[in-house]
Amino acid sequence: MDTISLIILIIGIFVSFRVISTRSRSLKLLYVCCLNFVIASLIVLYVKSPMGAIVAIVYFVFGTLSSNAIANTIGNLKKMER
Amino acid sequence: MEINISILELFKILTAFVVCWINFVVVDTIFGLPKKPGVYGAEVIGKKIEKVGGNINGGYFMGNIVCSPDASAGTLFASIFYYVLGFKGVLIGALLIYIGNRLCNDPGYAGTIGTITAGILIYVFSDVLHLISPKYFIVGMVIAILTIQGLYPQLSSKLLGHIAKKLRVL
Amino acid sequence: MIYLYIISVVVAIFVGFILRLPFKIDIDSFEGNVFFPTIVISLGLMAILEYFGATGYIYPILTGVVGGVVSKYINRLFPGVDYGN
Repeated sequence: MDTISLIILIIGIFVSFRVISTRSRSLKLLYVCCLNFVIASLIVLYVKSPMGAIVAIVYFVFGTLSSNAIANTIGNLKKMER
Repeated sequence: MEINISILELFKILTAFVVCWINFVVVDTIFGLPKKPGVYGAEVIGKKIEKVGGNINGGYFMGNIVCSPDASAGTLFASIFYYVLGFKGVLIGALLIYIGNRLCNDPGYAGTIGTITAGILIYVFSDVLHLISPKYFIVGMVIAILTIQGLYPQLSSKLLGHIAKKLRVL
Repeated sequence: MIYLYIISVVVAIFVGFILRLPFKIDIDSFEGNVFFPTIVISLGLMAILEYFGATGYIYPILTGVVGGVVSKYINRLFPGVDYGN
């Protein structure tokens, strides 16, 4: 396996442990954003062609849109809980 | 499975990490990301980071990174598209990042300009000086986003607030 | 071929002047400017067309016109949402 993919994979495993072990819902979103970066780079480094780059950017944009919606909903839930 | 890592490769990864970090932090700070949250979700994350002991402006910065593709995503996709297609790929990447910014309710300046400046930097390092190939910029950007968001959010938010004061944005 | 991109940018800015897009850059507004989305859209579309092998002179003109028109109506294609909603 390539050195670069191995470094990114180790970063991904470390960040996924932090996602599982954090209690706060809002801080989990920061670590999920890191995971989106890791997975987008691993897709491109495996499929070394333009289609891989298109798949990576579509995945990343829709992942970010989902995180935006989740953060908005967490805020509305906190407003309702009060 | 054989792994060969040399000191020269580690040095290239370190240089690429510094270039990517400076590019995305400076472009994002200039376009006002620490000043105010762009969407409501960024305000939620910023207030939570302030509650656990960070800086509110650094928190708004990190909330804006999560909720919309900004210069960090722009630098990553500039290196990805440069690795695959050359400088023309960076132009295609800038268009797709602009569409992503519009979908996430952002005017679109930070992401697109971050992509183009990253493309110019990668062009200088990789096709003019022939020092660092674009693969290393992909790793460098992943390590840079890990240091800002993945390790210690409290410390990095204080650092980002300090940089925003230094560049006279706040 | 770099001449394709230069023609595309020049046509896009010209179409931007004709359609009376605003001139001053405001980094908080969602409207199009005479420079900002026109150049990005026209260069991006020209790069995609060149990847598929287009080298005629009609393609930069087409791309510039599309860039200018999309930048005029960008707020109706991708509307912004009010804050706190």
